[in-house]
Amino acid sequence: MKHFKLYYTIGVIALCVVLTLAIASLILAVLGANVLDTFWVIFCYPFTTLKNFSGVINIMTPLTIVGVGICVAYRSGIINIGGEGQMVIGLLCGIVFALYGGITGPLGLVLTLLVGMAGGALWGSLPGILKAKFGVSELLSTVMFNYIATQLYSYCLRVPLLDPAVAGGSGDPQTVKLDNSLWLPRFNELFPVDKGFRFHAGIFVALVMAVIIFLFMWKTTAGFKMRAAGASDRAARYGGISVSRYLVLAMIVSGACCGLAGTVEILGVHHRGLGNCTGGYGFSGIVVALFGGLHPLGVIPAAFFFSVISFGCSALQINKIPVPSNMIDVLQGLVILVIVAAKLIISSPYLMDRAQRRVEAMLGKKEAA
Amino acid sequence: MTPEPITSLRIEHITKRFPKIVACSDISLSVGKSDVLALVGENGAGKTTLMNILMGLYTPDEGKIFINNKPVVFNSPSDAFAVGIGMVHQQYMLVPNLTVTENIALGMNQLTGKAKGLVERFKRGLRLDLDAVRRHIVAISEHYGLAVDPDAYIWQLSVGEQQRVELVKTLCFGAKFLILDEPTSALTPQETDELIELLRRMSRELSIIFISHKLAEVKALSNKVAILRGGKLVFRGNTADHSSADIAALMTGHEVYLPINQSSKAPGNPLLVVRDLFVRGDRGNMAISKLNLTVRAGEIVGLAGVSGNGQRELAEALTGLRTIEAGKIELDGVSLVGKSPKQIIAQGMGYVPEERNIEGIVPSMSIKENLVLKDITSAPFSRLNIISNAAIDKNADDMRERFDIRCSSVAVAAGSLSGGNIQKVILAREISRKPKFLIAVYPIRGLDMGAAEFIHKQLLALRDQGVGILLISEELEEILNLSDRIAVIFKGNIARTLGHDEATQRKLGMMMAGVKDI
Repeated sequence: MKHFKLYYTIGVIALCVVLTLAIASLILAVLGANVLDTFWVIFCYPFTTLKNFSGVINIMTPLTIVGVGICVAYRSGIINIGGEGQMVIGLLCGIVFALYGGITGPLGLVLTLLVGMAGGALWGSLPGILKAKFGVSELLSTVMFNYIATQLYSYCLRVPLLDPAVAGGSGDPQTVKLDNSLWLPRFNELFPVDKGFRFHAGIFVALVMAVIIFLFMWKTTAGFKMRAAGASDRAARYGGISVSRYLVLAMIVSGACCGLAGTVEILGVHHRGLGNCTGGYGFSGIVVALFGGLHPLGVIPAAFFFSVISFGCSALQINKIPVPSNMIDVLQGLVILVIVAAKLIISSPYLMDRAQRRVEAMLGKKEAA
Repeated sequence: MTPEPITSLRIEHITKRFPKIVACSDISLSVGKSDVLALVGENGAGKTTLMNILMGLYTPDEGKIFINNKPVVFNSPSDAFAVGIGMVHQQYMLVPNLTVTENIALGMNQLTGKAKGLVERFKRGLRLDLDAVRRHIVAISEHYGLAVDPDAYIWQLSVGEQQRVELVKTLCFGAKFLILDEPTSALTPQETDELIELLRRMSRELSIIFISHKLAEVKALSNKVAILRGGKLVFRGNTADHSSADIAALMTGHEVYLPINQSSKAPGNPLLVVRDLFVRGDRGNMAISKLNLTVRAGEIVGLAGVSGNGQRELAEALTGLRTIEAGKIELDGVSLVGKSPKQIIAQGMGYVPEERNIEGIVPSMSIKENLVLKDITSAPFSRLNIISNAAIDKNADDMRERFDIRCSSVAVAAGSLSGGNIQKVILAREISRKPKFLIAVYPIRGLDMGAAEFIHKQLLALRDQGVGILLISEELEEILNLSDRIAVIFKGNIARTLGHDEATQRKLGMMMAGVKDI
């Protein structure tokens, strides 16, 4: 049978889409929501206005940067689940520099971003060094460093960096607003376009970062060695590559990306330090990285797709659809599961062979009849 | 549920096509009661595909399988199991941190037949009667004379013992017909002899097909032989009627002879000098103790020994992958002690490692990237740390041609190549770097004769160019064919060094076993 592989691939994907929609419909029906309306809000509402679309882009920005950073670590053989902590330390460093560095204007903005990167890099390097020197599992250390970072940041927000205006009150702890010359400008401020283009310039930072990391990993000798060390540490050692050195370097680069993502989020969206400002991107970035095939350029569409769903789900309540906002987690989990399954099914020649036999047997019977 | 004995297995006109390739083309074979059929052929000749068809992993595009003269169709491996066909794969499928009994119990449940009713099924799913499994194992191993300790953990067992566990496992599942895929490829010569003896005994009750490209064991074990070449059956007949040379010629399509070191060129100055070397093994024991060795330029020194006598530790110490306890290592007058692998590579050390699939190459990276693994930081492959793809591509095309690396493209993952081609990639990289010295560990283990011939020729050519070579092997034929001098390693020390003329298979065999006065 000709082109069986093509039909098979299309068939599997179609089946997966149908399956996802079916399961989601079931959940929605149980919750008492209108299925079609819900899907419309999740998948189409983000594109209805420029303002909504800008919201998607603003979510996509940190997701892309974190995702790219996670790719670097993964490709180098380290599972960095410390993105959240590296974001927090990065943005904390950025905020401190912005508040006390005394440099304003474009130079200050660039320097703040760099300081944020340095903070993330430092925080990322620690688990890297622990693994390289003492063989400490990065799964353990990065998670622990997340706790430390989060609590440290929380302390800083409540004590040294606390905005005097909310001190003593019952409001959420936060810092004072950063000087507005340090904010990432909005797209409509940079270019004479419709006011609806409200997303901040961080998206350009993200796209540039993805390209830089791609070039770094695939066009430089350091990237080559990191990929070799990640793919097979024994072969890399045999080839004269100092595996532990490149392991630490990978964590530095990965941490720098996460630190940058945190700082961009502050300078682009919040304009001050406050609680929960990482938005969980340190974790969802891991999913985005995997979803993007662990390739820096694959992360871009993956992050976009996730941002659409994320924005759509968060818009459910505004649209008066009676679905709890944490539905997003259920839906995202469902989508990921199905995509992973589809990838596996498509890439297994054994399953394909079996399917082909079944189909041919069925067709053969028809012909015989 | 025990399947009835298999008195005959016949396949007729089996054809299996894959995209762009016909893996098996119109193959017919038959195996009768107590037959041992050797299925030989070079890598890629279609042996494994054919066996996978017999195991129900693939279905043939054309052709039929008959068991006891009844046609059968296998849709999955469990169908093949059900009629009593069992296969021992080249890579053992055992869980290292479970015991032998637990490993065998893992596969038992599904094979004890369909339980009636849900409750019964549920009970059976929950119950783990390890004692019964253990009794079963003991009974089987006594019956066939397969010594296996049911309570040992897999990680404690040697490769040969693990293979026996695989055999017992297959027999416990009720196999009446054994398929063995290159059963000796990872075994030492002693273990190989034991296995051959064992299989000969087992063949009184069972029929066996075994895949091999070692002609000595084909001759020793089989009574029938079938030769595949390029997916076609080129020959079948009785083993006794044909010499090894005939079979080799049929297998490769041309006369094969492994090259022999006949050069009388006198070796040059000492190149690698090892003095009083002490190296620890993985378990902290002294794997190499007070070892002395000299290899001169333009000389191949064969290091003969049963594996596990310190060969790996020595090779790793010489290449900087393992730190040494004490001693002196000099390459061309420069001390290598305390130097990193990178620095030792820069000194002109080449290394063809034992585990070519995981150490010699990065399996998931492309062939062209693997070819420059050691040289990525130097021109022309990179300038100012920016990689030049054009130079890498050109190098790969050159190497592919010069070393006859058979691949669809140099951009495919190196791990997808056959063993022989992986070894060619490694050799291409090591030789093209123009080393002063080369350490080759088991360079032709598991390779077919064509590839072995090619690799031996390359090593001899390198020697004639004045490179010093340390050839570590346990194949005496390989050592005797290539070496100028032969050192026998026993328990981490050189027992004795023999000139090429004084060494014989028998002498070496005894020295490898630890006999001192010969």
